[in-house]
Amino acid sequence: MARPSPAWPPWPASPAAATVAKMQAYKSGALPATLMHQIAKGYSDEQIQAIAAYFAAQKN
Amino acid sequence: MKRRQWIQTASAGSVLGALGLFSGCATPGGAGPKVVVVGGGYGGATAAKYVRMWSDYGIDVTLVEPNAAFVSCPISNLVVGGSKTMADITTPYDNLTRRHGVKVVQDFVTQIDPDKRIVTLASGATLPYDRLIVSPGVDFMPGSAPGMAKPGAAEKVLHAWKAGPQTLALRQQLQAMPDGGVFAMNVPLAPYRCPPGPYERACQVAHYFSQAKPKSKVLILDENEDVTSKGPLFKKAWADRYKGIIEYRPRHKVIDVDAATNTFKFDFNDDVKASVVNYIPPMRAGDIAVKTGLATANQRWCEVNFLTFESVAVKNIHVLGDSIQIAPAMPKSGHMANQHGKTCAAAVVALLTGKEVNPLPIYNNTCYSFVSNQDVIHVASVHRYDADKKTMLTVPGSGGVSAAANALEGQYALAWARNIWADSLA
Repeated sequence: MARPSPAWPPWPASPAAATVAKMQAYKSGALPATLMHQIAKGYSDEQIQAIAAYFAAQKN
Repeated sequence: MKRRQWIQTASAGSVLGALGLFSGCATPGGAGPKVVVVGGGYGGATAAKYVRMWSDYGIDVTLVEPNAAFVSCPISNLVVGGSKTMADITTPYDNLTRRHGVKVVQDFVTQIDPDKRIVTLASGATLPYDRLIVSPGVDFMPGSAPGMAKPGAAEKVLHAWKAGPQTLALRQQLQAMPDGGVFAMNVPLAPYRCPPGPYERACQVAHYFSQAKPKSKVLILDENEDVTSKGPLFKKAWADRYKGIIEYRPRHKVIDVDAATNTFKFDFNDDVKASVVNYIPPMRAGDIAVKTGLATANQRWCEVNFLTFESVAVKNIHVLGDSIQIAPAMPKSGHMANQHGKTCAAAVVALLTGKEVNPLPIYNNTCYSFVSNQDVIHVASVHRYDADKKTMLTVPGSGGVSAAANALEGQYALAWARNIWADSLA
């Protein structure tokens, strides 16, 4: 595996709620970003939930 | 099975034994479903890995790739410009085998028999498949510049549009060029691989000239009406950073190249002679896709069902990446091919195991371009399946470009590269 970068850390196997909160903050613009606000706006609430569930299920 | 256990088991040399742990999965005799992947670029390598992962390592996957290692087109313009090396953009294939049990065969597919479902390799070996994933990237339109067929022409006038030996060779041509010379490059009519790539290359060469050969010039001869991607951002970079170095000329259609005199010939414009000529020919789907009858759009690009990436023309064959007839606003990019690979892998696993195919795929694209050795601009988009139109459409309100070139995104661009290489190949 490539060494994780501090700039783009691998998405942690965090509780799903933390991922949802972060994606929603990107989506609303509350969390400043270079591009994640543009990406997050493309996903519905249900799709963000699904993303969070997928990452939460990964075992690093 | 946890990944760590898998790695340990696999590295102990008992890949087939490990497979036996999965009930109902492929057995050492090969009774499980077989997937063959043609081409180990961003699309094919990703598909190979994810078919294995998402089938719980139950589907047998063979990846056929002529090159010994993966060489990335993204970041390769930095090798041309001199701020990165070939080693920086090269990743071996062995992790696909060690970690995921993909059988990687270094060979070239010469023929596909869709009726018998058999692939024939240059070595003469044959591979049967239940589903075939064809991801051969692009090849060049034959006959676009007749002069390029002359002896020695293709060795002298390079495309460097498939990362590999030509990337380094173009770098060496620039190094050998005396200060005060002109580097002339064309841009073919869209669609072509990597829409912002030519303009990024111009920036990288101009950056090198500004540091090492300040009397030299970069001439961009574009068949398109205007810059095809990130236009205002590139033009700002050229005006602010490379004034007097880069000159941009739209509506220049190359009809021939005289390699002996380093001359571009156009349909309407005057000839352009340069010290180093970089000819990027018009492109189409990889030759094997065209030959197999998959290139249904003008004999050039392969139309697919965007739910599965299955060819509209040939059953049980899926096509990915730069070879496909793109959906509206979908770029031919490495990031997009990686997303194709995962969408296709999920569909192939579903089809081979009797499960439902995802009816609403959604994925995204990010293209970073270096305008210097450290400052970067991006374009991002999100693409969602439209069931009525049966294609992928960008989600309204999503996507966009950088406000301005910046060094933070320079770090992100390199991190993007490391992460997507890991996702596709490790």
